[in-house]
Amino acid sequence: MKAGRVIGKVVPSRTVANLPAGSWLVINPFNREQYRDPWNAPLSGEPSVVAFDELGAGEGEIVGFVEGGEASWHFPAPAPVDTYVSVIFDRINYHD
Amino acid sequence: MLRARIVGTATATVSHPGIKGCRHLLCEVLDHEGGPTGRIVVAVDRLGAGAGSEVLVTADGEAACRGLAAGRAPLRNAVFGIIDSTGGGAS
Repeated sequence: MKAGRVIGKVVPSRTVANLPAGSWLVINPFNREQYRDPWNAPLSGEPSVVAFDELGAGEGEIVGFVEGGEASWHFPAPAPVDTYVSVIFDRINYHD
Repeated sequence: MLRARIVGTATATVSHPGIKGCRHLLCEVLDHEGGPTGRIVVAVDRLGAGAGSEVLVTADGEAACRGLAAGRAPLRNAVFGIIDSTGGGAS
């Protein structure tokens, strides 16, 4: 799992069938600088990802997301989701 | 499998039900000499690894979810060993 900050939302007009209810978040993945100061550090230079969210994370929140097959294997039916928001963090303590 | 050092902790207010209550650690992946790589993964820990510890982290969801009541959860990384010492090939 990686951590990142929610910086936006994507609203599709049409999707394939069989998707559970949820939203699509744009996430800026963390590097060391953001782990040091998660809520105040400027955005990282990492490419943003779009993740499927069922937890209701909002803009500015810090989330943990998983990429790959694990992102959708808990869904009852196969879904084309490869990035999934697993947790919303309320505290991150980083020490060098 | 990754060799990593614990560089922090994270606490979650809201989690997917399958990993609710899990302890999350920030693990920095180490290079072949044990040096930092800058790559940090968040892993679930059930062993009680402490700050600064060197650990083994699985990067396979099947292994990471073993032991979870829910079975398959949206999870890939879990601490599965605490490293005592590392040695080279020839002694």
